[in-house]
Amino acid sequence: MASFSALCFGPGLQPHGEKIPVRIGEEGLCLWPAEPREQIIPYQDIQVSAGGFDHEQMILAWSKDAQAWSLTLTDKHTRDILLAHAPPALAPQLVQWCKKIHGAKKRMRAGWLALVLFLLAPFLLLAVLLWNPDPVIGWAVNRISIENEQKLGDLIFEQTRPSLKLVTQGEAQRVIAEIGQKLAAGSPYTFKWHVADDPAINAFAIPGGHVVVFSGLIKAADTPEEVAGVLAHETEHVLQRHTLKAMVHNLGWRAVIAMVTGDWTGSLLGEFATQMGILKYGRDKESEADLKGLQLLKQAQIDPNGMERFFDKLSKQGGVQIALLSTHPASKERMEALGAAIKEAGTWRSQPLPYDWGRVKASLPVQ
Amino acid sequence: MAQMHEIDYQIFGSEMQYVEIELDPQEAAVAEAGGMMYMEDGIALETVFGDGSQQKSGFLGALMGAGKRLLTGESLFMTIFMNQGSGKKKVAFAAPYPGKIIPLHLADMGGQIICQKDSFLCAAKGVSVGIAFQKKLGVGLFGGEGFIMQKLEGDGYAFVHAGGTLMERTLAPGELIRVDTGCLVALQPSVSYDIEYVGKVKSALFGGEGLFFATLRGPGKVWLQSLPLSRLANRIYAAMPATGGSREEGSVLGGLGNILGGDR
Repeated sequence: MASFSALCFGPGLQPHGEKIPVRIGEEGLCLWPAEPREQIIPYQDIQVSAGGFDHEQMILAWSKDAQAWSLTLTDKHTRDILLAHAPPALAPQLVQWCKKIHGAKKRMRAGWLALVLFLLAPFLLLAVLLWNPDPVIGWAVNRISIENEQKLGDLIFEQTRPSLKLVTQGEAQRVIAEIGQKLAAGSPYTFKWHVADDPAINAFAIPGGHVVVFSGLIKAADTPEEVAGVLAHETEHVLQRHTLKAMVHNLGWRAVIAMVTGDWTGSLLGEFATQMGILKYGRDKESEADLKGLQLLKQAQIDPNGMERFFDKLSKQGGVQIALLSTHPASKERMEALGAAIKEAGTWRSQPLPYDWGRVKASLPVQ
Repeated sequence: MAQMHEIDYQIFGSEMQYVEIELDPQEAAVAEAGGMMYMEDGIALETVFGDGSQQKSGFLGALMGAGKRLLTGESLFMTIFMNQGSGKKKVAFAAPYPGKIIPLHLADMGGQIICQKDSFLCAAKGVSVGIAFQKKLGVGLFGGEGFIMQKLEGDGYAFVHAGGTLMERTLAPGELIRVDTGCLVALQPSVSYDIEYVGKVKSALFGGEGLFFATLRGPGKVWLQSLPLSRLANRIYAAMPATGGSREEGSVLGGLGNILGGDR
């Protein structure tokens, strides 16, 4: 018969327990076998439970003469001996003990895992954001309502306005707004078109529908169709929320939270405004704006070749010195893709824009 | 058993105690850095990384030991006091705050004792000072001081410090007591340690006893302290003039005295 030693607590023993030999007998556990104080504990009297500091120890408890006794099996080796030679009378309780220990272990592990995940969640999110930001940013940006976006756009425009010499009257402003309205017809945004007196050949879009065209660009263009191409491109930056996404990318989650809740604090707005000047969207966003912009031109029945011609002309003229090209690099691939898309879209019945471009240019302030 | 150093000791004082350990030649004691009170000539002091119980386990073993010690909030190093002279020499370690020093002969206790972190004072060399994690999440989160405890393993003497008055209690099998989580100093590993919610919102909010009790279920011995340092520290902090406490003992003239005192 198998035997083991275990810590025994009971009346008359050391208060901190005594290590005693135990034999697994036929009828019961035999304590101190072959010693004068040998005694046999019948199996039906024994209660098996789990306990101890680590909650994994096996405690066999019984009472004798109304006094509590117990055996504590502290280490796994001892428990394995008892489990391997489990007497039938004790077997159901031992099986119960095993189940309880396993269940408790599982629960503990699951609990700790949940806690660790909970504590690490911000870091995991951050890691995902750094690793592959576009889907996350896209998701976050899609939560932002158009009203909030337009409110933000208005605020940013107000911040940027002092640094722009806006041309609020005259032929140029009216024509640009008319072409723009034609392009943006049917969009959920309320677009506002501005002309700024600035010799740089440039144009930019603010989230929510403010598009600013510099007078330098109008002067550099030969036909209204060329400007319409640029406007279609900028309109798509707004419609595809490129500006918003790029800002979120650069400014992080603070921006998303502010945008979703619509709560603007001054410093953040200032940062948005400074961002405006240096935003770059990346090649794929530019191509997207080109191709979707082409669709806008088609809808508005405007000749698409003006768009291609204008970029082509600019890149031949001045290279990188032209501001529009520094933020919208006219790479060879981009031009080719645009050309191919124009070919693919086929020709449509275009109506020439009914403006006298010379007069429009003349209406601009003289530098 | 051979690597344990058998040391003789004597405890002096009643409320602010220190323990004096007598070392035979080549015997040594380990202590938390900073606990030493005095030592006689001939005792050499060495600082080791980790707990000094496994000198030969290599660098990684020492690193593990030290890492665990960092978790319990102890310093990374322990100090070994070795008698390198001839004849018996003494070294003494003092308790850091009012209370009692408990001598624990680990061999008598089944070789293992779990005690609250910070309560370990010193031990014969060879006693390993490890950490005992509470695996139960509830205990871990709400057990207060009981989450990470120290595990003293070996056959020799270890000295543990308890604040205030010490209570040593033997729990019969199945016997249960509830204690404030801070008042537990040490327990045998055979004692089940769990956390129990106070149960009533009213007593939780206004009882001032904290939201959770530790429940200790026998069999085994437990040691409780009447005055956890944190309680004492709370009272002292509340009484400090810098935090709005009064410097005077509750006199009616206290406020006036403060004005006249002028010795801020």
